[in-house]
Amino acid sequence: MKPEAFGDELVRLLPRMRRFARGLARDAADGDDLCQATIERALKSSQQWQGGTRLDSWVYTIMRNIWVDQVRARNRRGQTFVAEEAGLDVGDPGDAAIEAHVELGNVGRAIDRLPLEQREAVMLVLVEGFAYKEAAEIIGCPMGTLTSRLVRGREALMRSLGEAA
Amino acid sequence: MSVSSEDVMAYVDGELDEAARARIADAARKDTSLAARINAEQALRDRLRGHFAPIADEPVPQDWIASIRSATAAPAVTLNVVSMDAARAARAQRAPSKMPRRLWAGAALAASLVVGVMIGDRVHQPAVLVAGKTGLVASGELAQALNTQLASAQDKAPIRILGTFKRQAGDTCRVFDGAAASGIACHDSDGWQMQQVVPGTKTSQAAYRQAGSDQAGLMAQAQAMMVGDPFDATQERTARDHLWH
Repeated sequence: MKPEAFGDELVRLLPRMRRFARGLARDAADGDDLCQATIERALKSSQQWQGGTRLDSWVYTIMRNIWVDQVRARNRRGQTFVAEEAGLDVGDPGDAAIEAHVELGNVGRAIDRLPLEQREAVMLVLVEGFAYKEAAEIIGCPMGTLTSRLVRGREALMRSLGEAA
Repeated sequence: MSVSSEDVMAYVDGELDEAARARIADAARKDTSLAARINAEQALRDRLRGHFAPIADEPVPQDWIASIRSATAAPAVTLNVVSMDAARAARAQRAPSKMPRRLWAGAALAASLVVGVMIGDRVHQPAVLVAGKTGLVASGELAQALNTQLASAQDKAPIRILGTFKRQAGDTCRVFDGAAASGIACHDSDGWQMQQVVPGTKTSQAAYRQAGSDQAGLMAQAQAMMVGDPFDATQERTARDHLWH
């Protein structure tokens, strides 16, 4: 693919990238920072993208990995965070930070409370519409892991939102 | 029929094959609680989508688009494809300032037979500049180069002639670039009088050296001194054959 065509495709993806970034980062400004970092990395490593494969999956993978790295780095620096899932998860800044947010409405609050590993699974499948196989590839986990995270994430959302959802 | 959460989820997410899908749809018709579970999953999916949809409708920051466009822009040559007129107009605009540079390059690079160039004995005559009556005068290999070397034929020569020109007073001047010094020298009865001297280009790879800012400055000064265009290969050869008078 020519660089211009790559650029066109990337520009077309921006609204969706922004949406996924917002879901991962749980904050508009952090989400946009993540989006920008993703754009930069995608442009720098555009040679690594294989034409004929899905550009959106490739870009989402980059974004997801940048975010996970950032969360890990933050945790290593010892910033306040509550270990999610008894430390099994990479962890996010935690509930205190979320509570400090302005009221987001029930859905927003409910998804923000999910641990990252469930949140990214829910975002990719339910919001972004990826198939399980594609979502598992983006996250880099087995299909079974993805589906069990999806089930747990959904159950938690159901609990937060009430059975009527 | 017992249907697991995974199955309900996969059903709603469209991950089941036709047969499995039909089986669950069938079961849901007979089992209201299963139908309710499916509805709840579907409602959750719709609600999440609805919550995030407006983000994708927000106008994307222009600087993101600009950075993508500039990083993936086609090289300028495609201008010719897109619009010949635009390319021509752009070239016409650039032409006045580019012209002298192009002539210089032409004079220096004009292909020609390599002629024997006497560089002199570099061991016994290391000084390339000596004090003359009115200033610095070329000596040693620099004097040799200025006297004999043609800008159009100087492969691997330790001193490179960047160009030759006539100045207002009528004498001939040459711009040179060497390891020890670079400068502009004009010819008179005592030899080559230095008009400008700057630190040279310190590299042994004469063929590959790049003109530094000092050299660019020299070319600009030469530009200001010269009358008419820099010499082409023929003019340069004729001037040399007439011993630069």
